Amino acid sequence: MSQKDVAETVGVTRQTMNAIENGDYNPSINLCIAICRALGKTLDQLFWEDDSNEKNRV
Amino acid sequence: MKKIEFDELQQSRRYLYGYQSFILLLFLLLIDQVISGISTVWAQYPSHAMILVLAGCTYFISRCVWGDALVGPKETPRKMTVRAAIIVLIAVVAAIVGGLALVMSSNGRESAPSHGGGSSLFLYCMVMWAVIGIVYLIKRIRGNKEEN
Repeated sequence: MSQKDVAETVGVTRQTMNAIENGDYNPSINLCIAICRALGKTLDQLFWEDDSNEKNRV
Repeated sequence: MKKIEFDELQQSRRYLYGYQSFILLLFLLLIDQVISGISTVWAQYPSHAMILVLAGCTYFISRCVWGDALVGPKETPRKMTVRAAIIVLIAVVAAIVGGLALVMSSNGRESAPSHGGGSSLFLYCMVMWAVIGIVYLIKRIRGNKEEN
């Protein structure tokens, strides 16, 4: 699923998705949940940072 | 009128740009007052305020264009293309008319900006559209490069 597809599914612009992915913008919880639903992942899987996940990556 | 919906990043950016435009306008008015205080007339009464407001508007729209906060995410690509064509067309017309007005002004056939009146205001409107068009074009070119 491309960045553009996710953006269209969630209802935001591709630039907003790009800013979230690069860590330039912290999305609201509602938007986080919408992204998780679009990708079929949980909040932990996408947004939780630990040793195995890189910092500031969706 | 159909309400344009922006996503949350666009909304926050628009609030920020609106605040910056407001502060810019306040500082321009302050500078205008200082200039008026030293008895220097750079434009007549009604047009100088309008020119300052136009400067604030130009800043706001240009920042919105640059920050991808001008149109919402639900705009279709076709609508965007039509809108882009309209903006570029207006910018080209603005540049031509503005250039002609400048030439006429330098030849003395038209009133200079410091004389006030509709012609100088019209000229500044054209400058505003030209600036917005240029910012839009640069943004589009950069966006296309990033996508490729």
